[in-house]
Amino acid sequence: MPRPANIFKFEFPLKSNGGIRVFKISDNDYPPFRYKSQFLCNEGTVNNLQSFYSNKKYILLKNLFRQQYIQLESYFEGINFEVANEKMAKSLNSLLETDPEIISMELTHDQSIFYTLKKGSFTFYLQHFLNDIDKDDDEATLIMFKGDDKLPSYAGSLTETMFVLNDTLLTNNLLKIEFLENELSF
Amino acid sequence: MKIPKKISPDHIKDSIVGIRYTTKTPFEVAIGLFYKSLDNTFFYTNRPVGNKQPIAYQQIPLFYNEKIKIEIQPNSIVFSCLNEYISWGKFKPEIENVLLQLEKVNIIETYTRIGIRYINEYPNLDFKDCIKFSFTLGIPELNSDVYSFRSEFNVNDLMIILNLNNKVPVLSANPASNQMAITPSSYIDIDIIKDNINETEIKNLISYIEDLHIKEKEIFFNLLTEKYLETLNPTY
Repeated sequence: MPRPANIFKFEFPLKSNGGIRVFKISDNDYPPFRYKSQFLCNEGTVNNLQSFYSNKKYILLKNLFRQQYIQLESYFEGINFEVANEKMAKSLNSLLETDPEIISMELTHDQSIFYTLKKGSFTFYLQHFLNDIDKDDDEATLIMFKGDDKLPSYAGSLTETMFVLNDTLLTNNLLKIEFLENELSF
Repeated sequence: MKIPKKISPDHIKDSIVGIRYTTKTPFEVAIGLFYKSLDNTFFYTNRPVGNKQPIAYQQIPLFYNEKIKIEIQPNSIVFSCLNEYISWGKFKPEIENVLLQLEKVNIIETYTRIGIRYINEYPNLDFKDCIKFSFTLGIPELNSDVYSFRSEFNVNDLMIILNLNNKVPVLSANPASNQMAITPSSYIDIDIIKDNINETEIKNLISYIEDLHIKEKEIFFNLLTEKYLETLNPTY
C-alpha cells in the first residue's frame, strides 16, 4: 500500500532567496533505510568526521610528543628522534583506531611512552618502550581496569599487546560493531 | 537581516575548508613537492589508515602549524583549525598563505571545487525557541524533542547541505573531572559547496572562499531567532 505523499514538511527562512522555503519529502524519495544514508546524499566537504577528528587527535599528540621529547632529550640518549617518532606513530595510530573517548600520553625517564586511555568502562595504561630490546618489535606493557576491577596485566611485543587490548574491547562488544561492518557476506 | 560581525560565545566546534584540485603529476610526486614548497613553520606527519589489519593500505599526509591542520589527499586539500576556532580573520590568511606556497611548485593544474563547512555545537540547548525551524507530522499532538534533519538545496550555483540536530546524546569528557558523561547537544552544521569551477588563479579562489563564507553566515544568522541571537552578544 503506498504511503501518503508529502507527510513531512520542513520549513526554514532564507530571505535572500525570496522568503520561506518549504522542502518536502514525498513518496518518491522516501529514504530506503536499509542503505547507508550517504548513498542518497551529495558529497559534503568532509564526509567522515570521525576520521577527520581522529586525525586531529593524532596531530595534537604527535605535536605533544615532539615538545616533550625536546624537553626530555637527555632521557632518550642513543635514540634518534625520527626513529622514536616513527615508533610512536605506530602505537598511537593503533590506539586511536580503538576510538578512545579519552587519550593522553607522556614520556618517561625509562625511554618509553606512557599512554592512558578510557573507553566505556575500561581504563588502559599502555607503556611503549622505545629502546631496541628486540629488533623485530618494540616491547610494551598493558595494565587494564574495568570500572574499579583490575584485569590481568600483559607484557610482550607491541603487536601482541595491542592484540590483547583490542581483544579485551572486542570480547566486551565495544569494537564488535566496527568488526561486523567489515565482515564479508561470503 | 543585518549580519553580525561577531558573536560571543560563537559555539563553533569546527570550521573546515576543502578545495579540490587536479595536478600535472601523480600524487606521490606532488606530495613531495608540496612538502618542499611549504615553509618551516609547517610540520609534516602521515597517518597509516586501516591499521586494524596488519597491512596499512594508505597513508594520509598531514601538515600542521600552530594554528591550522592541512590534510592533503590525491584530489583535495582540507584545512581546519588545529585547536579552537581562530576566527575567520585569522583562518582565511592562513589558507591563502598555504595556497600561495603550494602554487610556487607549479604542479596544480586547476581548482575544481570549494567547500566550506561550519559545525556549531550547543551542549544542553533545545532548539525549540532558538532557531526558526519547525516541522509537522500531520499529527498535531506529536512534538519531536530529539531530531536529526538533513537538507540539500541549491541557491544560485551553490549547493548547501544543512544538518540540524536537536538534543542528540553525545558522549563527552567533563574537562573538570575527566569523567565521561552523556550530554544532550544540538548542532547547526552548514556546508556550502561551489562545484564545477575551473579556476587557476589563487586570487579568484580566495574570492570564491570569501563569498562562500558570507553565504554561510547569512544562512546561519537567518536561522537564529532574534531573541536567541541577542543572548549571543552580537557586535555589528
